[in-house]
Amino acid sequence: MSDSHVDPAPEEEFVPRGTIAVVALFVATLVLLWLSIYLILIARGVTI
Amino acid sequence: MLTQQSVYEVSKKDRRFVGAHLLVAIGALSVGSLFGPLQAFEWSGLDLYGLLEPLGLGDYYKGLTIHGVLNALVWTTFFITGFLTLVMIVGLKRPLRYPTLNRVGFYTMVVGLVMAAIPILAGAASVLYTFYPPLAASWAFYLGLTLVVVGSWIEGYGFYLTMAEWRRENPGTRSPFIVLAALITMVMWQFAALGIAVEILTMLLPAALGIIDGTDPELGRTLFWFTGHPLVYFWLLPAYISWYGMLPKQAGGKLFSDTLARLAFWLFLLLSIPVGFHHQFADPGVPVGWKYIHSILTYGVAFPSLLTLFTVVASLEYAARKRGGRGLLGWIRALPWGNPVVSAQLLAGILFMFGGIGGITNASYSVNLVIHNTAWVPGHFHLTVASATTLSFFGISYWLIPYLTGKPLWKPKWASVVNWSWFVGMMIFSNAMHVLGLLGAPRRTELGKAPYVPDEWSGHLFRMSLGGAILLVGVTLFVVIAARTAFQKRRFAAGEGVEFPIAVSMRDPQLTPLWLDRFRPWLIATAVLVVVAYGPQLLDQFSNASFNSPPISP
Repeated sequence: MSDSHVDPAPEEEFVPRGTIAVVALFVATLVLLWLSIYLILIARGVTI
Repeated sequence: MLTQQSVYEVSKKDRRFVGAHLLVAIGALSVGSLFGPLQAFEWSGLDLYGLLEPLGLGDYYKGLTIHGVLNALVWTTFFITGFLTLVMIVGLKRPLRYPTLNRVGFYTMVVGLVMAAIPILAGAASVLYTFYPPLAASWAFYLGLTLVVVGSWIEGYGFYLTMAEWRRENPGTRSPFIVLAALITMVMWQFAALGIAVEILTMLLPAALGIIDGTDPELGRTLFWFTGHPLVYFWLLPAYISWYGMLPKQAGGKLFSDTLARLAFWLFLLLSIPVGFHHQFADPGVPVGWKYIHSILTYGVAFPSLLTLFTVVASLEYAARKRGGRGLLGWIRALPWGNPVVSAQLLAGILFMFGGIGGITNASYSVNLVIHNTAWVPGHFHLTVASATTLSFFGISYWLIPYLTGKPLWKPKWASVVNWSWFVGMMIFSNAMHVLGLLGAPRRTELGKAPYVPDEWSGHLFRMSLGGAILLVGVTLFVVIAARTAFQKRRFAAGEGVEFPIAVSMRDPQLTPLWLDRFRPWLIATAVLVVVAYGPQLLDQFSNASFNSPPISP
């Protein structure tokens, strides 16, 4: 990357929108995987 | 905005001292890592232990013990104490207050390592790295492990005395983040290791010496997991020090929030210890109410983990956007993936996201009862200690060894190959282990000889073996790179070299609230929480302890 690409905006204005998207993706993956494991266990039926 | 911090020149003697830690650590990794893939191959039907029989290393459980002890305990502890020593020196810009004390700590660890290694190699300590009673090992194994722990404590005392001296020299100044984080790591470790110390000194060692007739397995497991879970954070927090305090600079940016970084470390101190009963959901001797309390606290630890995810990724996003990154997620491509120091830590972080998901999932009582003592568990902790920690330590080594030796990294592109092979190998390996766990495959067991392995497992066993083979290639290449870097004749030319990376914060750390720079309230809160969460159960288990389980020497 060349220096011309350096963001001239001051740091105080930096809003981590991409980070919020990454965290949201992480939480969605967590929920989906967790749910899928419960579904696997439920599909096996009741065990006593 | 802060100015670039001035460079502190670490003495040759101190560089050699830190380098000695790394030498032992990487030596342990190189031996211990050979036995991991052997286990994976054995599970898939390819038993190569016979090849090691002439060396007296043909036993599966001996190999598994060597793998666990050398990789999970020795590689980590020596690397961490060495790395934190340098963090203290450079972070405070002063030498250790009592360097002899730290050297005593290091040599105590070395003596302990040798003392523990002898019975392991002799087959008198094939008790795996959890050494659950009534499994019994030689007294030398327990004493050796104790010395490794005590040595790391002594090095920690050296850190505290150095910090106290710095406080006297710099009244009113906020401690540098990396130093505060290093101290929290060591305090947490010393607090947590009390469990294992009590287990060894009051039960395992006396039983091994014949002073008492047997052990109490339930009490032993409770004391072990008092230490065992925070041990994971002892492995992880040094990697976090790099992710928070160094990686932003290496990626071309800054630490997003010094305040959030400090808060996360304090919360890890507070919450990482009183969670051990989530390892004992299947233990009948622990009342369900206490399991519930520890379960809730376990989910509490997820909070500083999520803080870490947010703050580290925000720091990386800032760096990427400075490098021209655009879009909601497109900035990720603009990170310096070609730099092996950075890519190792990025890939470690991605693997750790899956480790976090697996950890949160298996902390739920109902799932835990299904996957308890199955292959899921080693699948999970290979995403923590063998990914977040080990791959980050690889990345740290790529600048640390050149920094210590004054010699450039040997074949940086090969270092990138190490990172990607570790990433791919671990994805395949750990996914297979998780699936096998859900299918009921037991952990630890010599599955290649088990008569009950169903066909349903075979594909996953093969994937696990394939992942293990790729990991073996990766770690072998890492050891070669580390050795060739350290022992080559070529040195940096004048004006070249590697600087110690310290990320500056977007906001002046001096503005961070004072309560995030003071140990006393956090230490008190941690002690109180541990007493509340463990006290009644420990009192009950000690008062009802029956040391009548005879030792079993495998």
